[in-house]
Amino acid sequence: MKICALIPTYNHHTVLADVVAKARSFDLSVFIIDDGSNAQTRQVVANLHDPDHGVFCHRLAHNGGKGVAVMTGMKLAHQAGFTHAIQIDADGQHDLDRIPEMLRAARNAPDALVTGLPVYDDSIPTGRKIGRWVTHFWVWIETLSFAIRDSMCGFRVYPLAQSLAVWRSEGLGKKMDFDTELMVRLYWRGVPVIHIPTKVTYPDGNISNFRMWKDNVLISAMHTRLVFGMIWRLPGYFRRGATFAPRQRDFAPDNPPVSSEHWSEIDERGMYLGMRFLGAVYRYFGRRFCLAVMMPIIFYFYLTGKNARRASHDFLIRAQKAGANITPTRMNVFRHFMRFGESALDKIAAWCGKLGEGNLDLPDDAESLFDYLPRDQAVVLLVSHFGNMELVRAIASRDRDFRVNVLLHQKNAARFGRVLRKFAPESQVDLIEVTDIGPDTAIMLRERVDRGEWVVIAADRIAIGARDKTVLTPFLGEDAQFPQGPFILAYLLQCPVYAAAAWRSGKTFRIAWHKLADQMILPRANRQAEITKYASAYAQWLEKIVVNEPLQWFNFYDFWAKKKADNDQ
Amino acid sequence: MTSLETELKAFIIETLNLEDVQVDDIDSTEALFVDGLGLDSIDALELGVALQKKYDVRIDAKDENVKTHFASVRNLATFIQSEKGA
Repeated sequence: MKICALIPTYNHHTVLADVVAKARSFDLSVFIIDDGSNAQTRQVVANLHDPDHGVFCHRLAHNGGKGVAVMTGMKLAHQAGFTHAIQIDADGQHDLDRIPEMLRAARNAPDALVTGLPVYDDSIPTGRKIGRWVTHFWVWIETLSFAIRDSMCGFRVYPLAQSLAVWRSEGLGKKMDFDTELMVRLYWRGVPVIHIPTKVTYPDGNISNFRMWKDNVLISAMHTRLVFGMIWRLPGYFRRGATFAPRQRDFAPDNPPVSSEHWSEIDERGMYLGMRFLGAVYRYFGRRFCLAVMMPIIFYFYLTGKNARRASHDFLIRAQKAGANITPTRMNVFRHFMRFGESALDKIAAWCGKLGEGNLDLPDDAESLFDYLPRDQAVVLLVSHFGNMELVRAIASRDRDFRVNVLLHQKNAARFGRVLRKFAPESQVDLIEVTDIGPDTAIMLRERVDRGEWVVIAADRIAIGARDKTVLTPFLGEDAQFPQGPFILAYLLQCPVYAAAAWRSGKTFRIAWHKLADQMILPRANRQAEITKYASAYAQWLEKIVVNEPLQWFNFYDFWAKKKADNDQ
Repeated sequence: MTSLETELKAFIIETLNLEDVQVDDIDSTEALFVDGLGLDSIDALELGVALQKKYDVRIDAKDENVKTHFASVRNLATFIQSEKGA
């Protein structure tokens, strides 16, 4: 790991030489990026250029904003073979004596973003103090956690590869909105944030490049983008068990992250509050309001999500051919996107208790969910990313005598489970993380099945990094890959196996289920063929339902891809 | 050959329905999976569940040693004995 210093400057030169000297005193190579400064600063920068002693200066012809300067610097540093860069402001705001501490933190956690946590003295202008709190608030919502305690301090050690990846694939604010946006987006990618308390002062005669009006507009626009980004990531966030990305906290055992337990607890609290917040918005302003707010957001993602758009269009063509009453128009692709957003909203509403059994439109005038799905009999339910099965889970799980085990491929399911328990303490749902179904999982589930509990598992997606083998079976007119894992598990559990789905129909939700087998049998001799038989029965049943409600099919990727092991998202 | 090993061989044949295999066909040190007896991961699961039921041994897939325990009949016998002794 190689760390350098990165100093962007725009018309700051009075203390620049001191800042550079200080950085050099810690044996750091220094990259100075002159962001199209005036002649005077330009001259100072030019005089500092000294590659033989590790000071590299690069001038941008036009002022592009701090974001452009920092990212340009990162690119240069990365090309020069550095893996990390500590960004230092040119105006002497940062407490450079903290550099060794920050470098140490970065070395202990190379995947993390190390940031200064400003401890301000009285010299901070009140306006900015308020602005900071507004930003804190939004960042908590955008990350659904309190993991980021400060998102504006520019004094940071960036992991270069990850930062450049964000810049390339998502773009970033170029000016004062840059620092916060990059941090939130890195967090979404699973880069942990480590805080090092540091003093920040506003020296006398300091020319700040912060422009009250213009920059506040920029910052508001950035938070709008990020809140939209958060909502868009919500389904994945919940699927993964309340994280935006698989965590990269795989530190070597001799370098445990500092008080990680403590932070995970705070994460949980933040997530709980985030869900509470969204639930409250739903309750006070209603579904219509939420949908209206979501419309432009979804439209934004419709415009930018090229692959998802293509997958949706492709799916609609297939659905129409299979007899669905839908034309594969742009409008319908957009409606498909909208339905996806709506289903996320329904999930939140369901877990917050805003949707109940009264919202279920049960077939045959049944009064309760359990009229036709006996609660005392163990079953395996094969579900899919269609409609909103979670709603049934949320409602059913409030029944005290009834326990559901939900198998998720994602990490951190247990954490999400604890948060859910806080929401609905009476709920009896166990979220079980299975990346790989081993004997222990199978045995544990067998015990639960023996007690009459349900086991729910999605049978339409292939797990990440799956040893999970697949079988090919026709779905909507062409062979698609289905995972073998759920069927093998259903076999091992030796209890009735149902395919089940629930979906929104106007104001209510409808449910369908279909018994695949009283007990699956997979004889050794032709196991593969038998699994394919069950998978085909499942796919055919699913197809019928999907054709009726094509817009509630929520697999926005090439479902018919030929050979792809990790197409979970 | 210990009696536990013989017992395990019969148990494996019975649990997995290995029709053409006799107890004597299985070498105690032969690999159970892939190469030797040619069992697959589904068999491993089935066997794991059945072993747990019969011998009351705890099989934890996260345990690095599981692969070793299941490598051959002899290893399996050693594992079961050590669990019982504990």
